[in-house]
Amino acid sequence: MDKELKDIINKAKEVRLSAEDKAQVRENLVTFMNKEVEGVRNEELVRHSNWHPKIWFSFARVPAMAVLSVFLVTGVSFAAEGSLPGDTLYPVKVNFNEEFQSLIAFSPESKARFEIKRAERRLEEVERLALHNKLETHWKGNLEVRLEKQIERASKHVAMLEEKGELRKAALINDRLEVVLSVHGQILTDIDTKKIATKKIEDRIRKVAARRQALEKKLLTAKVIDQLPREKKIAPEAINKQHLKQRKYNKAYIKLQQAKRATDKRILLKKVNQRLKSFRLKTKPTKLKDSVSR
Amino acid sequence: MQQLDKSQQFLADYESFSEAIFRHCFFRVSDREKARDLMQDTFVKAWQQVTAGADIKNMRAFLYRVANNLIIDEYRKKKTYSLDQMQEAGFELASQDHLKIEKIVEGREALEMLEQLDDKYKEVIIMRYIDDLSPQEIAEVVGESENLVSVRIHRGLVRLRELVNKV
Repeated sequence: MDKELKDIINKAKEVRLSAEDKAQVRENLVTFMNKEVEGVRNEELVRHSNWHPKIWFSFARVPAMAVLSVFLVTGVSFAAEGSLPGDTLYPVKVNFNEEFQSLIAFSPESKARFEIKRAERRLEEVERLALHNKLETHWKGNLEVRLEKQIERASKHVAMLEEKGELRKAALINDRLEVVLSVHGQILTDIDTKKIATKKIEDRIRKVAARRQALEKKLLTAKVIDQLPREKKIAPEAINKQHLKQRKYNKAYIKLQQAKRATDKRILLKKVNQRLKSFRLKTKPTKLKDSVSR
Repeated sequence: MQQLDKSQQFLADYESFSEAIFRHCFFRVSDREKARDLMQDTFVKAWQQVTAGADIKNMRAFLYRVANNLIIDEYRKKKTYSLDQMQEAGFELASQDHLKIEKIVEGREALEMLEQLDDKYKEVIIMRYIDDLSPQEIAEVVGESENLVSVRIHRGLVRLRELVNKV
């Protein structure tokens, strides 16, 4: 192979995972592994007691039992996925399945996205309960608290990213949250006829929108859109010119994001309508009212 | 007891292969944080397979295969946002600045060079020369014949050479 190619490949091989990251991932992995192993072991102990020890303790059965109990655990957690507050399996869904998945999210970004996903699941539960006329019994003290917690956590991550100077990432996550809230807010105005949850969600939408406006203001004057600006040697007369240019780009970026939000809203609404279809009896699918508005 | 042995073996595997898997992911998705997440997911998925009693003969190749599938999922996720691409096209000024800053980070130049290759070539070149997998192992990872993989490596190398000569 030629020398230049070799250089490139050698440089590529220098890319390293930082020691802290490696240790952190290892720690996450160990926590994860222990949880899995514990789950398997508990299942086995319970079953041991029902059997005569002699029959039970043939070693050939241990791996088979382990496989079976993995199936049992995954089976239960799979069955729990579609449950609603008040169902027996609902605690499994929120305390086991979701907590388990949250272990896997690593960066503040993916953590925030995961929290938004959880909020989305809560909102869909609200909608399904509203369609069954059961929302009143489960909203106060249960769903409300959980939903608030998830939104609160997601906004905390947005604030953290903003503080770190990663404005674009912060804005993207905030946008996602806004899309999710406003789509579900709209669906709820259609089906939450007793206005149990609607007001709270409208409050949240207002807050997130205000946050977005603040972020957009910052983005408009940012020198480099998602990194803290670095010192660079530029002739003083060129600086103004470059700033103007950058401002123009920033403006265009903000406009594009606005368009993207509108598209995302439409896509999400279609998806949620699809999912809620089988639960609706009389009401019609929600239509997007302000697809162009910000 | 068996479980304990298994987890110790698995952690040893983590020590030996995590760097390489991370590097592989980094060159495929060109984002450190995403690469780290993908690396973690790879090991989580692999462990799930181990506990489910899967018979894994070559752990290294198996890990690459899991990583490869996760990366493909990641690409698919990206595709739903076509506006993202538009915005990238409209943002050369900002993104070029961004590249200059990151060039300082080790391996950035190599990444830029590799980024210009087609995905199917990039994938095998990274596995062959950066991860030092044999063509046979690569064939196992991507699910193609060894012959096809060898041809792809060869063609990829020719493209890469052209790119280097251009600079």
